[in-house]
Amino acid sequence: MIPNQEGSITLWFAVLASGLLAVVGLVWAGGDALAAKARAQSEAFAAARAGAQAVSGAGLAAGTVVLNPMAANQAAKAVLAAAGANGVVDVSGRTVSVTVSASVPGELLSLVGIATLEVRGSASATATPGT
Amino acid sequence: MGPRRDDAGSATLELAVLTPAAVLLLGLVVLAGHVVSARQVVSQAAQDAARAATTARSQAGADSAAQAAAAADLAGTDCGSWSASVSGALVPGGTMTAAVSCTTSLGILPGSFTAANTAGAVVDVYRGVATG
Repeated sequence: MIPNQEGSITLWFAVLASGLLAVVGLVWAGGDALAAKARAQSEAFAAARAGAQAVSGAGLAAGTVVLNPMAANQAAKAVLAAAGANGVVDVSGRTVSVTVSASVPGELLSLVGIATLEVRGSASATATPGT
Repeated sequence: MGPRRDDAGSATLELAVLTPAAVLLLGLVVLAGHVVSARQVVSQAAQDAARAATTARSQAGADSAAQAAAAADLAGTDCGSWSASVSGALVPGGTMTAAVSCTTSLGILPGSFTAANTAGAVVDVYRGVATG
């Protein structure tokens, strides 16, 4: 008795095709997510740098470098807004920390229930007296 | 006709039909890799070019700094031909925007893909300026 082998290659192909599609989906969405993470990181740096330049004039007059927390916060947020980024700004002492979050469409990964990928980038900048 | 259906050769036929489809899918993997890689390097190059431009001392220097930063990022990538330009005033607190585009080959696939991206960077408020 010879077993009926009809469809065996079709089945094998179905497995191969779904595997390859999964690779395409991972490369595509994963690559976009990596690019978005790099961008979030760079935006966070830019915002933190801008914030850390809001040095208090009164502090300078007194001979110390301190930030004006309100102005630092505003400056960092303005940079985020200009870049169209979503982020949280924290001013503490001379340091401005920014965390940018972004979501990337999952593209093909939405077929397996991953509609978006969340990425984050954080950076901080500190105002220091020059020499 | 016996009780068993004669399926001699059907596997070969299926293989003949499905192989092109499998090759097509493999091509899609290669395509996705090249496209995503180009988009990534272009995005990174635009960010670096914009930041480099803001650290220059003069407007002309900003352009060459941006070109140099983009060239450094794109060296060794698939970007056969690329261009970078920078706009915005180099004034303290201003924003400079770099636009980078790259045309990449698709490896073993025919055709090419062009990726483009822009990025902005803020010019430092407390900075040196060109004298004279």
